[in-house]
Amino acid sequence: MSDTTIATAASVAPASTETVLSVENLKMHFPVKGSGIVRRTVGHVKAVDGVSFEVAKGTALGLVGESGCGKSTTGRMVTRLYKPTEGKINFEGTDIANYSGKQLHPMRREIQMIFQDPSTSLNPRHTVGSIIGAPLRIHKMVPKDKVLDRVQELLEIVGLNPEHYNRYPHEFSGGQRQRIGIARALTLQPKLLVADEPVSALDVSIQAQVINLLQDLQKEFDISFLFIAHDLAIVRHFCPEIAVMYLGKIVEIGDRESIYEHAHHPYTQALLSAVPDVKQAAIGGRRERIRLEGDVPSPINPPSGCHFRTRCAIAKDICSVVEPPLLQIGKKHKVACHFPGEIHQHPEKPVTAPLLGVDEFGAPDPGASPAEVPGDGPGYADTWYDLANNSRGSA
Amino acid sequence: MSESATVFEGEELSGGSTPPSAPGEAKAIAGKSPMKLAMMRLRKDKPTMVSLTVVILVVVAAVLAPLLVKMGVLDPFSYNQNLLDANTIPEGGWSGASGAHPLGVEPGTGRDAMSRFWYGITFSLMIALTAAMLSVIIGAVVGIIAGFSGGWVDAILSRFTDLTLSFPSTLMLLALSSLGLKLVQQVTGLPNGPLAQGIYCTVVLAIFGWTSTARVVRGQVLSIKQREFVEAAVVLGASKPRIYFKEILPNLWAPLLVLVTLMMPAYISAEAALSYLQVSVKPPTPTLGNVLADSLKYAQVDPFYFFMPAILIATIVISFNLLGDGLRDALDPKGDR
Repeated sequence: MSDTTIATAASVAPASTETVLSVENLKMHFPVKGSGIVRRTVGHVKAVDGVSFEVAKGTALGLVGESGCGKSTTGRMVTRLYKPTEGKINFEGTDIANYSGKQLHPMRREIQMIFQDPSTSLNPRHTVGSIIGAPLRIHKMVPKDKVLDRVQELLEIVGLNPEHYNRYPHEFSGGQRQRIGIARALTLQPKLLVADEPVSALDVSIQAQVINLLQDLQKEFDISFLFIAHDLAIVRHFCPEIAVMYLGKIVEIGDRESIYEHAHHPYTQALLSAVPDVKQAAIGGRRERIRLEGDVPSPINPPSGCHFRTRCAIAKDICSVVEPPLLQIGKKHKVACHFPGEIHQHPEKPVTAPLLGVDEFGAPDPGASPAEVPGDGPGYADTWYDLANNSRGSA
Repeated sequence: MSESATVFEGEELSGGSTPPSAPGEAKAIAGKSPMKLAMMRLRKDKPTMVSLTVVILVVVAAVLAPLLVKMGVLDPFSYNQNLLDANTIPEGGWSGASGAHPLGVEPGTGRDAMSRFWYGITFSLMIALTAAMLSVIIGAVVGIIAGFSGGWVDAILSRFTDLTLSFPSTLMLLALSSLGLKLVQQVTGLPNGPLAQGIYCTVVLAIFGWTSTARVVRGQVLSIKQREFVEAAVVLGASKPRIYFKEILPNLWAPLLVLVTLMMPAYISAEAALSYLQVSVKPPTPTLGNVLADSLKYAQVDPFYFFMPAILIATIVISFNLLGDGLRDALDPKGDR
């Protein structure tokens, strides 16, 4: 178990100094209205319930999780399609969480979005030229007679025939349509692209092409990505850093190796065990498959304490009482679990209890002195909690 | 441009990163708009094309009728008592059809039947078309506002729509006809005549007819609002008017066009019924309803005259109905691809 921390600390993705996006304690609570004329609010869907992360310049952060865990909502808040209930969205140092429509207008150039379904994200009554040219007209970036030149240039960049500018979306295949959507997002030369499941509506054979296109564009234009997906293989290929979400919260976040090779959260471990492994099949061995029982609980009334405890194999008393904080356990690895550890190596006692000032059953412990939890907030600290010897570690 | 360069229709296979080869084709590749595709589908649909022809003929006839009346070719008002027998029934079979009166003359008065039918189409069609347009415009505005705004605006407008729908409109029309007619005369300054009566009928039909459009448009707007291209426009920073008129409205033309064509036959029959009840344009001005009302008295003595207006109304109504159905099929977005 001691090699856990060492391995994690050693495998650090190429450090990116500049942070483009920093999200802090972001919450989105949708009101649930009762029926009748008055329609008072009877509850809230806590779609996103306090997430924090950072996206560095020119890299990609993958956001994974099962349906309804708040991935897309997070993406939509970053593009400000939704106004967050609470929290900060720092884009290049300015908090845009509470910006009004007018204030947002210049920011729209910098943050763009690629949508999931290219058959609904393109207006069927507009030509491709007018779809890709729309951002130029809205932001008056180029003179009117130059719009077509730029549109054709963009079509070429995304690998489409520039002569097809006067065709309609329905004349293209799914993969081609997604390229049109990507071209539209690129028109304004954004610094951050929120890709909301950009390939999940496409055939598997075309997914790779679109992903490669995105990767080439990222290199060429130095774009940062917030990459939302539920396909773990694609996220592994595309994103040097991954955040795993469950019921509106980030349960584990870290660099590629920390998540895929040294997952410490039981939910991440269960997700990873669901990915078919070709190598293992060739050897003929069987890998352990962790099956999660039941469904994701309702985000209107999430379980007390740890949101995942109702489906967790290692949940203990403390999990229903105290919510686990996001604890940094490696140079680029944070996990929100009372019993973090690699599969079958979860500790017996909650490592978070002393930090939070509670005993191992979650009851307040008058003798303990609550300490600052390393890892709360976006980004990574220089020091972290070393699981191997229960002490502060550092690089 | 190199002639040897090939253009791949499906760029998928050429890989993500490689830019496409330079287009070697000199001819412009023009896209087909959804409207053009709909027209192509429409041309293949025989019943719809037939009904479209009938509708065009009817409209042309309606436009020409007043001119022909002015020129004296049609004469719907002159009494030709000399063509009637002692019981005021046209002499000879077929309503006394002859070269001068191809469809015979009217029993009782001897007015030229064809002129009355033809001129009647003009009034009926004018009322129906104006009422349909007004209904669709009112309905579209109410529906778009309700659908876009949501919340309490939507609640109020939707309840108002329900209220209008639950109004006994025909009874209102009958009860308030004299009062309404006076109001129209006051507002427009027109004398009591076919024009004022027609305007009253049109306004009442439109006031009670917009509800279905409002509901359809509201539903459409609600579903279009959720489509990702609207969100894409928001992310791009498009203004609200741009989203309403450039993104959403183009997607509403098809249902609105279908609504107008389907509303036309309903209004033609409604106008006929109202004329029959003497609350629309009153005799001696011919409308489809008036000639129908006149014809009913002669069902036994002059069957030809009795059936003609009924057949005319039925043909026009069925043609508009078939055209509306055909348009709906042709404009159905599911027909794309």
